[in-house]
Amino acid sequence: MMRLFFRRRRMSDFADAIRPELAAIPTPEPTEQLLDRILASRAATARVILPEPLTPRSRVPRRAIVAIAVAAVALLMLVPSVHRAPSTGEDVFASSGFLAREAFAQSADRDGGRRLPPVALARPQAIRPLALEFSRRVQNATGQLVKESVDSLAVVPATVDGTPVWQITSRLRELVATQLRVETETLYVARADLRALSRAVHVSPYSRFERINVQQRFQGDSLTGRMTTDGPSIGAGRAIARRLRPELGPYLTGAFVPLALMTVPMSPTWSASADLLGWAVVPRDVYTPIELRVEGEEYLTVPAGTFDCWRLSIRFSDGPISYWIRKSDGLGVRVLDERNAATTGTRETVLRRVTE
Amino acid sequence: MALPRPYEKPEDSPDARLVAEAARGSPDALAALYSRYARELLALAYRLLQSRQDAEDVVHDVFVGLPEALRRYEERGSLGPWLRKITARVALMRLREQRARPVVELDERRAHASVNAPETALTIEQALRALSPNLRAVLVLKEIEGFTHAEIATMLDISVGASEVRLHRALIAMRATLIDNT
Repeated sequence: MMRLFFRRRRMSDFADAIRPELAAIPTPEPTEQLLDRILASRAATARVILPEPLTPRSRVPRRAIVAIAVAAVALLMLVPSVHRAPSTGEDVFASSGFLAREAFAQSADRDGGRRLPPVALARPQAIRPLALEFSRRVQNATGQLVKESVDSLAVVPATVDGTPVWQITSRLRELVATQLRVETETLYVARADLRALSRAVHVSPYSRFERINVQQRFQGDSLTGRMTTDGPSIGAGRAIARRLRPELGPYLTGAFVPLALMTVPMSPTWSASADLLGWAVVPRDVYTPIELRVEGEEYLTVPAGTFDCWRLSIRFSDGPISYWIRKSDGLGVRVLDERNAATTGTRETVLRRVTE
Repeated sequence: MALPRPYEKPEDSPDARLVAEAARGSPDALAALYSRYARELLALAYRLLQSRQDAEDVVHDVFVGLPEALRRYEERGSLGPWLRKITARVALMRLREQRARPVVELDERRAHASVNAPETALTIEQALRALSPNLRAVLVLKEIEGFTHAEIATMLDISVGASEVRLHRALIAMRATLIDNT
C-alpha cells in the first residue's frame, strides 16, 4: 500500500515536472487560408452537426445503487406488469421502412467491420420500369388485425443533370385511428451503377407535425441534406451531414429494398450484408446493418400470384425477419416480421399487384 | 502563418453579441470568433491528433458547424470552455476513425520543433508521440488542457477510474521513453 502511494506520488511529481514542457510543445498557428476555407464551406451551404459538449456523469455511491436496485426489484414484485403501447416517438425524426421498423438499431459511430461480403448489385440492367402494390398488415399477439395499409412503388426512367436515372417512388397510405397517414419516398439512382443520387421523404402527419420533409443528397461518402417540418414549423429545420463509411454498405433505402435483389445473382448458399439507410437526422438513425442469407426455396401464394421463391432471413441487431423473393427476377414478394410477436404483434407485407 | 487579417478588435466585441450574430450565420461574426478562439482550438486538436492537416480539418468542421450549434448554446458558462469541449469531442471522434490509418508527419514536426523549441521539448514531444492514442488523449486532456478526470471520462466514454489508470500508464510510458533517450 505504501509502495503504491509512493509510486503515485512519484508520478504526480513527474507530471508536475513535465507539464510546462508539454504545454510548450509547438502547435500550428491558425491561418487565414483555413478561415477562408471555413467561410467558403459555409457559403457553399456545407453543414456539420457538432456533438454536444457532454457534462460529466454524476457519481452515484455504490450503496445508493444497491438501495435503488432493491427498491426497483421490490416495486416490480408489487406492481402488476402492464404492457405499454409502443412509444409514438414524439419528435423522434427517424425512419420506418419497407422491412418494418428497423430504425434506431445502430449509430453512425458503429465500430467493427462486416462479417459477410457486401451485397453486390451486379446486374443494374435488371431494374426495369415497374409498378408494384404491396399490402401491409399488423396483427396483435392474439392474431387480431390491428392495422392494414397499402404501399405502392413505381420505377420510371428519368434524367437528372444529364445522367440517366431511375426515379423510384414509394407511397404508403395507412389509417391511424381515424386519420390517413401518407409516407412517400422519391429516390433517384444512376441507371449505370445504381448509386443513390438524391432522396426525398415526406410523412404526413408525423408526430405533432402536419408534415415532415427529409431531403438527402449523396456525393462520394457524404450524405447531406435537411429536415424541415410543416405545421408547426421548426424554422430552418435540421441540417443533415453524415459520412457513410465506404467500407460498409451498400446503403439501401426503403424504396429500393424490394428491388435490390433483382440485381443480385442468387444461389442456395448465398449470403451477404448491407446497410439500411435511415433519415440520418439523428445519429442513431443513419444506417442499420443487416445480414441476408438464403434459407430455402418454396412456392408462395400471395395476392399477386403463386411464385417459385427464395426464402431469405434478414438479420437485424434484435433478430431475424423472413423475406421471400421471386426466383425469376429477384423481386420482393413477402416480408414477415415476428421479432416482437408476443408484444407488439406480427407484421407482414405481401405483393398485391405487378404492372410492367 | 499568424493571422494578419484586420478584424475589428476582438476585445471590443463581447461574446454574447458575436454568438448571436454567428448563430444567424454572419460570416464576420464567425471570422471574429475564429480570430479569438482558433489558436487554442487548433492547438487542442493538434495535441490530440498529432497531425496539422487533421487538426485543421477538425477546426474547419467546428467552425462550419458552429452557427447551428450556437443556436443550442446555453450561456451558462463562457464560450471558450464550451468550444474546447466540442473541439475535443470532434477530435476524439476523428481519432477513433483514424485508428486503422495512423498518419505520421514526423519530418515536418521535427523541422518545426527544431526551429522553435529547445532540444528537451523535442524529446518530450517524441515521448508524447510514442504514446498510444488512448494514453495520449488522457495525458493531453488532463495535463495540458486541464480537463478533470470526470470530464475526460465522459468524453472518452470510460469510467473515471479508467481515466486515472490511463493517465498513470501514460506518465510511466513517458518517463520510460525520456529515460531511454538520456
